[in-house]
Amino acid sequence: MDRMTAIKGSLEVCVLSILYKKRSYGYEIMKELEKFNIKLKGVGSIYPILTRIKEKQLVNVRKEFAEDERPRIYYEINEKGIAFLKNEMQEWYALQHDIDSLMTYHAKDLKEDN
Amino acid sequence: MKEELLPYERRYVNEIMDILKSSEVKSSYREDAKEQLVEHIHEARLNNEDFKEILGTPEHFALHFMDTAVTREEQAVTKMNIKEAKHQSKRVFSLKGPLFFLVLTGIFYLVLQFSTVLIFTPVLAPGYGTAFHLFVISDFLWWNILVTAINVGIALVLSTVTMYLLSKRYRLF
Repeated sequence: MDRMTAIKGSLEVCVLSILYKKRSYGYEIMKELEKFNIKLKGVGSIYPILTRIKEKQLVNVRKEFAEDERPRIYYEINEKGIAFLKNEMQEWYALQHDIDSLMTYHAKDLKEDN
Repeated sequence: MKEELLPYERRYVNEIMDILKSSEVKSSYREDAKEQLVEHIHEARLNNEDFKEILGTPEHFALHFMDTAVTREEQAVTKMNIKEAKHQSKRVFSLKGPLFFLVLTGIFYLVLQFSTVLIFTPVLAPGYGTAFHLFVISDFLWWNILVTAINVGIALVLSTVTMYLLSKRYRLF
């Protein structure tokens, strides 16, 4: 399976999941994704995703400054974002379940080899 | 507020901004992208990382940004704007092309030729009469051919400049 394509399709949910736990900024979100082996190299950065979720009003955005006055844009998930994330997660798990069922039904022996 | 970027970093950001602007991405998105880029470049520098490793080339970032950040509704509006712009450019499209260039050159040539006759022949002299020859400046054929060639040359240059200026103003090309 093309891992990059799969990551691209799920990146929005991944970012919102991270923000569900705590508010964060671009670079920190990126590092958090990398912790879970979701590497963005070749996929593209998460910044367009952050702009999209901001435009969809799924997050509240606040510009703050670090100790050395570096600007940081913090993203915090809001009620609409949480509802969206919940819905997306349900769909994601349902799809995953359906695909798993299909593969198990048609190619169970290959699955067991793994 | 420390937002200073090194020259090559600024150039990178500017290149992306130029691409987004020329692609008619609205200013709020562009401003967003700029802030994000500045933040990322600062953070990458602080962590001794190459900011381009994640962001990619300016073209790559800009394309990915337009593809991902702009919502479908916005994309539809942008497409409509592009369609409208194309439609508008079609309206002035009749000014484009070799036919318009030839007509323009012809007009310039005639004006130049007429001016040459007025300046270099005594047609305006009192009591000259009604004899007027647009292509006869002198009794020598070579001189008439030379003047005509010079006027045609000037007309071509003027037409080219006019077309260039019109294209800049009305996006003919």
